[in-house]
Amino acid sequence: MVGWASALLALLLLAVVASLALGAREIALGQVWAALVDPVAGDNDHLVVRDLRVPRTLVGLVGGAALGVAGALMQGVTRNPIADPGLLGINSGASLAVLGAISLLGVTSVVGYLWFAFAGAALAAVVVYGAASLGLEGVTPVKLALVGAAVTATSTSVITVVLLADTQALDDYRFWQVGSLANRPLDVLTAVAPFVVVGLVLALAAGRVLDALALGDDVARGLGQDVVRGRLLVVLAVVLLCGSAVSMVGPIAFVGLAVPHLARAVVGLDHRRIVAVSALLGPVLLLGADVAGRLVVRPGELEAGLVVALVGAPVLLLVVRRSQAVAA
Amino acid sequence: MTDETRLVAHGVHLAYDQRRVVHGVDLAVPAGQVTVIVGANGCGKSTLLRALGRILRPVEGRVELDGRDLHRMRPREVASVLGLLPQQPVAPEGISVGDLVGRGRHPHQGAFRRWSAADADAVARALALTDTQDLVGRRVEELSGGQRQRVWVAMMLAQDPRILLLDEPTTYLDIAHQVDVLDLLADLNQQRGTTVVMVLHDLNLAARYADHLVVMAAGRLVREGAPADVLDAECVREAFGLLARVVADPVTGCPMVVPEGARERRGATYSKVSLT
Repeated sequence: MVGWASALLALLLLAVVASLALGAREIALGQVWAALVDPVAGDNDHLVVRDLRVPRTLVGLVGGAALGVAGALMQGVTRNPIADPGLLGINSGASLAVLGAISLLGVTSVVGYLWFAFAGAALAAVVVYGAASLGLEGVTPVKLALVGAAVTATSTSVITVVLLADTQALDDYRFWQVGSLANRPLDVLTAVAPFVVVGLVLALAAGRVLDALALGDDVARGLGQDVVRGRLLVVLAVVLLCGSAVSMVGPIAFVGLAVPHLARAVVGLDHRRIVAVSALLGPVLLLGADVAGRLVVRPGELEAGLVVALVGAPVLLLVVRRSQAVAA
Repeated sequence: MTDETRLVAHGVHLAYDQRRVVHGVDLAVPAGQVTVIVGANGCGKSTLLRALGRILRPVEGRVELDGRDLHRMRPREVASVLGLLPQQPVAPEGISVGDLVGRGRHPHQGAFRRWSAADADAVARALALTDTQDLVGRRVEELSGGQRQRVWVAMMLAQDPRILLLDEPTTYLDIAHQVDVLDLLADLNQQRGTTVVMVLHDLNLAARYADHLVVMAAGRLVREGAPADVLDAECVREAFGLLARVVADPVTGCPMVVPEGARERRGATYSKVSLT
């Protein structure tokens, strides 16, 4: 247990260092260090590190942790290994709200998108949870997934209609929609951080709830778990985490899908551990993708949202193949 | 050592949505005994068990545990007294026996509390009682049906309940494993005084293992008492609409139900056991 924890921390440290040190502009490690501890005003290298790479790295850390943990919670609460935070309709709700802000209100800054994305995410979650709780058994995993899919489909078609009609909005929107860590001012981070912190605490508290729910609703009830309250706790944490992440870096889907699988391969089925490991692996994957995106087409760059699936998919396939070989 | 915890249903009506399934059942579960509920498909026996286990809230009447309304008690408090095993529970893919049994400790743990010595003791005891110690490291999905059911019972025992509720614990098991699981429950009842309430389909096994037999039909309790007093031809006809003869089980002397259908009356021929 100590073994994997320190290995993960080392991996995370490596990702952070890479994110600070590597990019379009070549800056020696010593200079990076100097920029952090003893900056010289007017030094361009220091400026790049402090104003561009540090915020970008922090955004990657916070956003990656939020996406990874949100994915772990979604897969747990729906008992579905292919669930991701997008399944609750949160990403599409946020996307629709951001597009609305761009198209109707002419908002163009990332900070401006922030609250629209958050409101859209929250609204989508309320609609999905509300609709899924109608009917006999209340909220069930299947209903959550189905209503989430319906909300996603609806939002996506509205988005498409708007984009077809409004080409100006298309340009602004598609850069947001790809998902990127670049050019996110620190204001975005400080606005979102409290939500992420609360979300992470709730997620850890929900670990044992998810362990009970994994055995099925009736067994969980027999174990004294209030199933309705438990699901509400999990969904609340997902909304906080996923809403924050989407507002900050855009609707990056793959992190939430892949990270919990990697986490389970490391620590097994205990949800408290899955959540903890996802919080470390999420940033590793997202920062890794971001760094890779800076290097492949230098001096230009590819958005992290694109790279993450390109890099992550083969890794995920490998893990899934291996764990099935063990199970067989 | 007989346990005196009282589980009682008072005039319980149960419904799914608007459809009423159980119509006013009164049942005092005898403490420290094995109670078996039988009845035709759809008679409401599993539904009644769910209400006794606090999963389903009665639309009328109430269930009491030691004189307190079960549905007003905190779920955790109930879970530390009542263990419940639904029909055909599904274990998460890849879970180990040790992990599954450990989850029985849920009602005794807080959100951030660590695994304690008491937890470890309870799990070790549960594994020993169900004779599943050797399976601890195995994955649940690689076990046989009978072993799997033992492991689920172990999970309930780790919960440390005084009353066990089981919904058809022998479904899909071959006859040897059915007897194996029921023997396990009977032993728990004998040795620890654990109250057992279960739904069974097989009338002959029900008669053999029950101290108290409860017969339901169409959402009502039609007979209850010692199997020898309750289970007769009239009872089988009333509850199942089946013509049957009830004879003494040659092994135990318990009532044994032998169906007597239309084919027998038409003089169908059978392969007979030679009695010489």
